[in-house]
This record gives sequence, structure tokens and C-alpha cells, in this order.
Amino acid sequence: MRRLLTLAATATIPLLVLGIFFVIPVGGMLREGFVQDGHLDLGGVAAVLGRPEIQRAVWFTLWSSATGTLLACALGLPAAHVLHRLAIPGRTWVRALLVVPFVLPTVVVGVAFELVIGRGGPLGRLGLDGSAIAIIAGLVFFNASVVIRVVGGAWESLDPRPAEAAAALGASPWRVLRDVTFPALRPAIVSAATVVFLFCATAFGIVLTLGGLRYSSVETQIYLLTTDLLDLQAAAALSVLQLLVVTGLLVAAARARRTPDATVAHSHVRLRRPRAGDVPALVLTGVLVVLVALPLSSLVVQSLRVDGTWSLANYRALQTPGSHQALLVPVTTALVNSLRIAVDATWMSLLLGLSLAMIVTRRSRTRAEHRLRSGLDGVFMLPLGVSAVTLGFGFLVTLGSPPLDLRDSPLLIPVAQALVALPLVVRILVPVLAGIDDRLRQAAATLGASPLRALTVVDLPVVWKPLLAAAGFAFACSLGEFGATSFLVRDDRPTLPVVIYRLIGHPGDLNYGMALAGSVVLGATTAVVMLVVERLRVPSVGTL
Amino acid sequence: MTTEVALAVRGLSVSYDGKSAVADADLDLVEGRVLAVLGPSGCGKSTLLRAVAGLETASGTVAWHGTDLTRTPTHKRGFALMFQDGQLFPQLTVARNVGYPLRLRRTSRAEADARVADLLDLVGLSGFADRLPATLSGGERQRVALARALAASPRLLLLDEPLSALDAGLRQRLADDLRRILVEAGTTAVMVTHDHEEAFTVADDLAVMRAGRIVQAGPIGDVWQTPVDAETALFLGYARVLEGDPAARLLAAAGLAAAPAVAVRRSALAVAADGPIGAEVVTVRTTPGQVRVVCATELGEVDAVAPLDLRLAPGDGVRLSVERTRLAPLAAGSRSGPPPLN
Repeated sequence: MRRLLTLAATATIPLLVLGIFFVIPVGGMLREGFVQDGHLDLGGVAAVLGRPEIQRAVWFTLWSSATGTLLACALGLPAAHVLHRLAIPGRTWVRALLVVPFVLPTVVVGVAFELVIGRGGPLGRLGLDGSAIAIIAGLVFFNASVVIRVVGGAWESLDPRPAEAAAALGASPWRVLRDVTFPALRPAIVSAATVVFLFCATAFGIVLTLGGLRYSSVETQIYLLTTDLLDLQAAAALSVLQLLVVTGLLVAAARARRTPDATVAHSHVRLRRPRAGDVPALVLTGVLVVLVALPLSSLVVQSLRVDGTWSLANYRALQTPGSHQALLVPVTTALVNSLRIAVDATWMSLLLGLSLAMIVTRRSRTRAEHRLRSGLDGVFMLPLGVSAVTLGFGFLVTLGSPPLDLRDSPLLIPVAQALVALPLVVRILVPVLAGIDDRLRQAAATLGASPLRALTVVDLPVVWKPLLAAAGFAFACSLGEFGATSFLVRDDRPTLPVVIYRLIGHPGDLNYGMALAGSVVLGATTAVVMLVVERLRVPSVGTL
Repeated sequence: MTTEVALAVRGLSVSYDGKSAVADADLDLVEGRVLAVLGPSGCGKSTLLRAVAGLETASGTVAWHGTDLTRTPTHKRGFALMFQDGQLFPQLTVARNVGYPLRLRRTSRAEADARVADLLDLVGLSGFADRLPATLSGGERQRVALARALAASPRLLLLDEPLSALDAGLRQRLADDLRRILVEAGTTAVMVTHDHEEAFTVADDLAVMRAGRIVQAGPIGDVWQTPVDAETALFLGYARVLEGDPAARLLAAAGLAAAPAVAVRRSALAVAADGPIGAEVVTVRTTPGQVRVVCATELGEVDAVAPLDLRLAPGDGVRLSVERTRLAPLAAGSRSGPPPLN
């Protein structure tokens, strides 16, 4: 009983934060949609879901996400094999390049793709601008790295002996792959595919910048309904639909994860030289590298071109608010805002994430305690299930007026971003903490170490690197966060991604050039942070 | 050596979700002696040890020289626990692992270094000071874990299956070492094991545990000679338990008083020309020290030994002699009720 009370006490602060900044906003959003004139209006919600443009958005979300997931797996799995099992020159660099998209701000990706497929771009003649193909290519660009990370990690630490045993029994390489390797990797593949589908279905910046007027997903519909059409009931109905679907997916992902995954166990496999049979995988990896490198290099090149010559004018212009009254403040100010907000969001998500990970991973003594712990685990994964746009919308309708008037608080945006990053932080730390044998802490205790001392000799040496990696990851996510921030940001205190989006929407070559330069700066900042995180070599980064 | 009871455990019970793991356990241990808790896997003996260390939520009392420690947290009990798999801190070198309890006590650097060197010497690992745990073999790791536990200068050392993760040859050697080290250091210790050989090598006292209960306790020789029931006898290494009429005949042949049952060691019966029991050889197996035979007799099937030079074959008629010190009369057979609590 005393243990249960201690547990409840440690969980209080995270629960309080989640209650105020998650349950109340999302609850407020639900009330907005379901309660009309003081009574429950389910008919209205049904009517919203019957509208043709809503149905189109739902259908588009489903099929574009499914296609995106399939293609991300089709390119990501061979790449995971090539980059994690084969000894090829430049392997670490290719790996780093393919990881960068995962944290690139969606707005930057949108701008970069626009450059490649838009009029005048290297692929402009294909007429892909504003097409579904462009959106799906963007989704694959983003999510192939997730597949590589999750499956590659599992593949790298896969015990090679069963495959060797099968080969010794006469199985061809293809049979070995089908009969031994894939079944062993299935949990990782299912887990990766679920997460990728989730990311595709809630992609916001990509669809908004690449979809143009023709295509909109559930996520962008919510945004349009809220900000442009002020149809809060329809927005709320769509948010609920999304919440249900995403929660279902999360449960499925958790199921897939329950089978032991290889992210914690380390078995060091020697990389082998590529063989003739590896050519298809190598080719597909090459395709992926082009898909990732082309937009990024186009972005950098175009940001340095002004009126047909090389110039830094676009970068110099970042000190101005742009032409045609595009902005209220210079872009550099927005960058400083972004960095400040990211610092705040980082410590918040770390503090919450660490206490949660510790609560969740401590060994339970009774079934009631175990249930309580896994319940808490599920509750704190919820922000992952609610799209950033929904969260931002919820903040807008509930925290903008008394009794919780936080509209002008400088911590409002960091809190929202911290909640968005929280599930990722928890997922980095939980496998690490769970991998620590509780008996090691007990050994320290029987030698005379107080619980705090035991923490420093047992937990700290294992957790400091992942903690640093989680900090970098949260920082990078926060820098690029667009969905929730776009609701909450004030025009006189914008963040860099919001400024970039605004610059694209304004006429004028200078504004466009500034958007490119700003994208390069933002992308480079997050990429540098991520490369540092990558050097820490924490296997659970970027897995869910 | 004092004879005052140092560790006194009374009515200790541990349960998980209403399922009893340890029920109403009592233990007494005199300062400087080593107690082995012997029992099959899953009988709750490790849980009992962890409860003594304060790592389990338990009812009942644990006292040290009359001071109740039930509410004292683990790190203030002064009982060091050595785990089955060592649980060395992976990031610390051997010397820093062993020195960890000394650093907790703020021992001066020079004093700590000297003590670590002494302890490594004691466990036979001088020269291993700067190695990391991952580079050690299983046996070496257990030695480091033992040195680390001793470095805490524990009032009581708790050993949870300290040797069971090792292979057989190494286990026997380390068991001898362990006995020597514990005696040299004058350590009071409780060791949990499922291996009776190991218990005999290391311990002075024995407590036999079954299904969460301690069924018999006492000096190791006493427990060995007078097992409390058939199951205990078999667990202690007796080969067979005879009951009823065969038991009465065997006891009579040995010149012992009648009893409902008798536990028989393999070497209690030997092939001898002048033995009182007639038998026919059923199977023969040669071992390095002796020939082991199974015989059909009027007592039923029994085990017996024969000298190596005796050529026996199945079907041979032989006579068996009885060694009475290798028999243990039992108060009840295997089908008697639940084991009595002591």
C-alpha cells in the first residue's frame, strides 16, 4: 500500500501537467464539437462526416498514408539491410544523410520539394506540382528514415546463427531471408510500419505546402475548418475521428512491440562485403539517397541564387522583415524566438519524460501496481495519438480565456511543443531504464548505498547519454514544430517555421528567397543537432 | 566464539498478490557460523533471503542481536547480499567495484586501496584490479562479487545461489574457496542453494525448505543423519526410502529399532559373501570408485555397491551386508500428511 502511495505521489506532477495542458484542451475541443446550445448534438457530428469534402479528405488521408507507408518500407527495408549489415564505403555518411529528414521541419521539406517539382525545377516538366505523387514522395522522404532506424537497429543486433543454421541445411539466401530473417524482424517491421502510417496520417506541413488547393488530409482540413472557415463543430468532429483511429493504431503498435524487440540486446555482428545478390538492395538504397539528396541540394543551391547569379542576398535579407509587409519582425528575431522556445520545451519534456520513464520502468510488486504503471504509460502516450493541430486548437479554445488565461504566457508554446515531443522522449528513455536490472540497484542497497546513491552508481552511468540524445531530439522536434505552434503563435513573436510558411504565402521574389534561406538555416540547425545526437549512438532514438 | 544467537528470524512470510511464497519462516544463526538454506528451485528460499535483506515486503520480524530491523531499509541493515549473477557495476573496474562500499563509508583513499588489494588477494584475483567486469569469466565475476560483498564488512553476508551459474568443476573448486574465505574472515553468512553437495562444503548449519516452509533446521550433520521425512531424505541425497514391511526387515537386519520407514544411502548395502540379505543382480554400472548395482531382494529393488574387482553380471546371485550408519529411520513414510513445522 505504501508503495502504491509513493507511486501515486511521484506521478502527481506529470499527471497535473498532462491534466491542465492536455486533457482540458482536448476536452474543450471535444465539447466545442459535440455540445451545441448546451446539449449534446450527435446528429450535427454525423452530418459533418457526411459532407463530400470531408469524406474526400478522409479517403485521401487513408490511401495516401497507406501508399506512403508501403513505399517507405519498400525503400527503407533494403536500405536498412545495406546500411546495417553490409560493409560499404561511406556507410556512416549515408546513414547520417538518411536520418536528417526525420527531424527536418515539415515546412522546410515542403519548400524543398516545391523547388524540385515546381516550375523551373529539375523535375518541373513532369507536372507533379500539387499532385498526389508529390505529397506521397514527401511522405516517403520523411518516413523512410523511420523504417531504417527501427528495422536497421533490430537487423544489426539480430543473432546471425539461425540464418547460418538454415544456410547449412541447404536454404538459398532468398529462402533464408523469407524463412528466418523476416520472421525475426517482423515485430520491428510491423512496429515501424504502424508508426510510419501514423506519421503519414497526421502529416500536416507536407500536405499543406505540397497539396495546394487540390488535396487536403484530415489534418489540414481541421486546420482550414478552424482558421479559415471558423467551423469549429466540423473541426472537432474530425479531430475525434482522428483521435480514435490514431489511438487504435497506437494500441496495435504497442502489441507489436510487446514481442521482445532487439533494440536493447546487443550482439555485435561483423558486417559483410556486398555480393551480387545485394545489387537490388543497393539500387533501391541509391534511389532513396537521390530522393533525399535532390530536394535538399536544390534547396541549398536555390537559396544562393538571386537573379541568375550566386549571391548571399537572401541570407542578408534575413535581418529584415521581408517585402510587402510580409512579417512584423526580422527573420533573425524569429530564429532567436525559436531557439528560446526550443530550450524551454526541451527541459520541460525532459523533466516530464524522465520522471515518467522512471515511474513506468520500476518493477511492480503486485498486479495492482503493475496495472497502475502500464496505465500511466498508456496515458502519457496519448499526446502521440492526438495530432499537433488538435492540440494547438484545444489550447486555443480552452487556455485563451479565464480561468486559464495563458494566451500571453511565454511558456504556452513551449508547453505545447514539450507535449508533442514527450512521447518521443519517453520512448528513448524507457528501453534504457527498463534494460537496467533492478537487482543491480538492490546490490548497491545491500552494500549500504541509499536509494539516491544507488541512482548515481547504477542509473546515471547508463542513462546520461540517452538523456542527452533525448534532449537533442526534443530540441530538434521543437525547432521544427509547426502544427501546434501555428495556432498559438502571435504575429509579433513568431517562430522560424511559421515565418517561413508566411513568407511562401506572400508575393515577391525577395520573400521567396528569404523563405529558402530561412529553410536552409532551420534545416541546418536541426540537422547539426541530430548529427550530434546520432554520434551518441543510442539505439532507441527515433523508435516508438 | 560466542554462542549467542545473532540473526533471529521469526514468523517471516512473503506473498505476491495473495500467493504465499514464504510462510511463517523461523531461523536462528549464531555469530560466525554459516547457514545453508537448501531447497528445490521455486521453494521460496531466495525470497526468504531477499526478505532478510529487506528487499521484499514481508510480515514477521528480522532481528540482529535482539535489535528489530524489520523497519530498517536495506542500505542501513548492514547485510550484504551477493547475487546469483554477481550484479557487478559494468562501468566500474574490478577494483572500483570492490572499493564501492568503502567509498560509501568515506574510507580514506590509502586505506581503501589496501583493503581492496587484500580482498582481491583473498579471492585469488590479484592483478585483476583494472579489468572491467565484461572481460571476466563467470567464476572471476563471482569472486569479484564476493570480494565486493566482503568489502562492506557486513554483519551478515547473504549469498543467493552464489555458485549455481557456474559449471560443475568450477563450482566444486569455488565452493571449497568460499568455505575457506568465509572461515578466514570469520563471516556470519546465510547461503541459499539447491545443491546439497555445495551446502555440505560451505555450511555449518542447514535449513531445508520446501514449498515456502522450512521443514527442518539444525547443525548440518544432525539434519543429514536424521532427515525429518522421506522427501527431505531424498532431497539430501539418500537413494531410496523403504516403507512398511521392507523397512522393518532392513532395520532388523541392521540391528536397529523398528520404524515406519527408512531412508537408504546408495552405499548402505554392499555386496559381501557373508551378508544377511540374499539378492539377484538386475543391473550393473561401473563408476570410477566402485561398481553400482541394482538388486532384486525380498525387500524389493534396492541399490548396492561392490568393489571394482568383483565381476558381476545381471542374473548373478549375491549376498548384501548392511552399514547401519548409512540408514536413517524415519518417523513416517512418504504418504504421511503435510510435513511438520519445527
